[in-house]
Amino acid sequence: MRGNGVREPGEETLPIGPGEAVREDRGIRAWREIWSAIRHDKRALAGLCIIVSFATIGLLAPYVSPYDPFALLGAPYQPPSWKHILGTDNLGRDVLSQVIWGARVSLFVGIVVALVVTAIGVTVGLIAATSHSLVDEVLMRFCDILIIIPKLPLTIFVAAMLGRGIWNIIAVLAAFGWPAMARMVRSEALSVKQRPYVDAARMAGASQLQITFLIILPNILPLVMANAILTIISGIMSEASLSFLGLGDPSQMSWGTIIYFAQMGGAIYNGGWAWVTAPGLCIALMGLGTNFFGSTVNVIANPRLRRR
Amino acid sequence: MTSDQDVEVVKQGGNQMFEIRNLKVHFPAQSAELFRRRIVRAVDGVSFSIGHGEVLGLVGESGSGKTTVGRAIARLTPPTEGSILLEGSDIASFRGSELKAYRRAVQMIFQDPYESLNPRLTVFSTIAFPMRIQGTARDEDEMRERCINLLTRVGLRHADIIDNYPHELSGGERQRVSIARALALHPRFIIADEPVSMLDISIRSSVLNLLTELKEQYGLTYLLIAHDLRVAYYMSDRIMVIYLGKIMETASTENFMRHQFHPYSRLLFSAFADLSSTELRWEKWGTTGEIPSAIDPPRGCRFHPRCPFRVDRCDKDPPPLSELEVGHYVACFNPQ
Amino acid sequence: MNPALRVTDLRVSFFTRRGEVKAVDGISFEVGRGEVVGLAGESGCGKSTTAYAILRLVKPPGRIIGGSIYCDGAEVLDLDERELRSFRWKKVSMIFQSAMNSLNPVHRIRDQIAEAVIVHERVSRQEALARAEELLSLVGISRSRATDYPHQFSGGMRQRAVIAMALALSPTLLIADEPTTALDVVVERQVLELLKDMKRRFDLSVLFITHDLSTLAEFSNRIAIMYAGKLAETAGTKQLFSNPLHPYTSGLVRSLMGLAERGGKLWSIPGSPPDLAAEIEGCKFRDRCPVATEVCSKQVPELLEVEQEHYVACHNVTDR
Repeated sequence: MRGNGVREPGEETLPIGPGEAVREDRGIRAWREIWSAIRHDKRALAGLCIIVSFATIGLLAPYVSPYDPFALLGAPYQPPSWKHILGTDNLGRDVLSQVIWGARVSLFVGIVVALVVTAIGVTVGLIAATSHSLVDEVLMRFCDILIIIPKLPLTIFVAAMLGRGIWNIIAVLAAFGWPAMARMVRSEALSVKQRPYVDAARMAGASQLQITFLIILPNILPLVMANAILTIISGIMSEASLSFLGLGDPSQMSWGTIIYFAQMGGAIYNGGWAWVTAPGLCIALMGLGTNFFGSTVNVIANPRLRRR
Repeated sequence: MTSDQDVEVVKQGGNQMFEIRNLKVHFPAQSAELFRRRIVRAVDGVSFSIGHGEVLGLVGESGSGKTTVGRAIARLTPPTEGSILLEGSDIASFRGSELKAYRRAVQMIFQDPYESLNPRLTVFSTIAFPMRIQGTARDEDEMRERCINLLTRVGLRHADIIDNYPHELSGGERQRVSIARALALHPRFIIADEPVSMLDISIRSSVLNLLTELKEQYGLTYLLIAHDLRVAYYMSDRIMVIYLGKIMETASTENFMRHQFHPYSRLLFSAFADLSSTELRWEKWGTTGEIPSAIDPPRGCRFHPRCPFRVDRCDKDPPPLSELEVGHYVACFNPQ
Repeated sequence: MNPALRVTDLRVSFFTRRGEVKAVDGISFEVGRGEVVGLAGESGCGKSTTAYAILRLVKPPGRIIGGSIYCDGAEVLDLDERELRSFRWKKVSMIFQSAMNSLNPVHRIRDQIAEAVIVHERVSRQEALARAEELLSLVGISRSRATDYPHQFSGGMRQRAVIAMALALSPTLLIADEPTTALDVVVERQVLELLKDMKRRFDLSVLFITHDLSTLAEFSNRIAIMYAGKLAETAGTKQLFSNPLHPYTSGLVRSLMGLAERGGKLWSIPGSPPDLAAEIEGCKFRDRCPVATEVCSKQVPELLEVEQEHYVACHNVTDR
């Protein structure tokens, strides 16, 4: 039997034709559909290109970067030239190399923060959604407190206490980032919990744990992934803010620290416009790419929206 | 209260599969005031029994508590008071392997074909899920074979849909998959909660036919929950009318359709132009309002504010279920 | 006399990645003044799309690609934005299946109706509010409840409020898209009686869209049966029930449940509606049809008049 016709006018999801009699490997089929979904969405494709480009640049930094970003190569404040495509900074270091290495560091921070935030947020959110209401209340009030506290002053305080190091920054950003994810996971999980198919699973004899991991988690995955990707860019931007305020790790050349040094070194007064704008542009581009790609994440994790 | 009387009265004599005694299910309600706890009395003292091989049609409007009764029997919602006995044993006491066995024996079909299937699982995974959880199949191949058999049994071309996702199927197909899933563990009792109310009229009959066939083939017992008397009439051996958490009337289907004593039953019956005689035409009733919320149910008989036949007693005491004909019980001070 | 609505060869397609889905594939019908016409069919047959097309509410990837919709003296497909605004709600209004599709959850019911009036007519706020209250009491919602929010209403009351809103500007034609499908039978009956009453009072012409033929049995004057984007049969209500000619129609009529079926098997139409994106030659119903013949898979049957005011699109019936 085949599916019905259009359910409602304008609805995007449509039935497919007769099913294949051949039993195709489900895993491969899923990936094929995902790739097909991305391929057809121009925005997502553009986003993916941007992200992959930056990731590649960051990964291959040692090979792609023309110079050592910390090397003092000569004349300061040189304008862009063939030798130094983005010019040099106030110490004579090549800006392009800094930006390339900056990709590596910034992305690293963003991704690690996103991973930690997701891990903690999903765990806490799921616990809150599937436990006794008392546990839920306690966890959520705790999240609320963390969300309400003015982050910047506290971050400055904590960063000052812990010292300037890349891992300290990651720790601080993750510590303040997880409550938002937890709240979102909790509300999605609660909504999934109400669905009849969860009742059906209980009727089959599934335990609370099985329901949480086999049913609720996969069904909240689309939202979690979308949020995780947004966390990457917010991690990058937060790190940039912290570095700009001088709390960053000077031994690591991230986009944020570049801007910091540019500001400290009076780039604008000395004609180092590329020095100032290049890292900022990278951050903006990365944000755009993440945003564009984020629109497909929903399709990736939600079979309902895929096309065959 | 009157619950003990109810229990005595409704016993059908021996051979009962389920016995429900004074079942009450109350929920806390969202309250505007900070410290006042308000309670939704969804099910407020219901007693009845279901015999082996019987189809009991539980009929009522939205908000009558019928779904909650089903969920209590399914052990999805814990009762606040009262007990549910399966062949003499209180199901609330089941743990571990007893509970597992209960889950195999009692299954449910849900109202919404679009929400009762996990959108992330294929048809195969959906039907195999109970088998995996309970470990009732030896290996993947046996699971697949059983799925194919089940899909065929419910009238679907398995090859076409077994690896499809729910959104690729029509409403009728999804409901059949739900039924196949319910059969996966060889249950003895099925709670069908409004199994066809969200399907097109033209598809309802085929799904109801299927349920009847399955009952015959596998010797099943059903609790059929419905708001549409026509559906209950077609499939049930007995009909039980529930309103605001209490039973208003219960009788064999023939007796019920021939004559309803309770004014509310008549209201339900008269909603169908084709079913009612000229005497009971809807026009005579006018608009008698809608079912109120179960938070502060009316005193005395729950139906009295809407009842054109009410007498003095009706707003003081709740009427007990009394046997007016053989096997025909009514809770009314002024039965018609 | 001019009909309230005349649809001629309407075509609406959805252009998706899978191809062109012909949701409405050339249908023609009329709704006379003061007449109730039922448009019936299974989910996905295109009946809702037809309703949306009449109000030009079809959204991309859907598009009206052909035909004419002539309503109360105007060709709807030719109206510009400004004319369309005065057309919608004043000439034709619609009741949707789910009341929450029409009601704004953050505004009081009475205010929403008053807004609709103010937007379309030059009246003072006082007058608009008074009119809203009047309409609401007509549909059985008292003044004290008129100032509630939608979530405070039950399903049946919401649907009644929606009806009041649809009638706020006294339209000529009312389109009801599955107005009772989501309601309990008792409430469904109340809403149907209300619609009958309103039709009389406002002298409405009604296009009633549903999958439930039994609700049309007592409400409509004529019924059009739709299948896979095309009309299978149209006839007066009594005629359709007593003498359904198209195999699909007779299947639908037989599958209605009455009292006779207890204990036996209910009649049902085997199979499912076809995939509208697929190219199917000939009659789209042939796969499920008990009397399909050779010609059915080659030629698309035309809708032809077989008796007085009784049209059927079926080779078996018309090729005699």
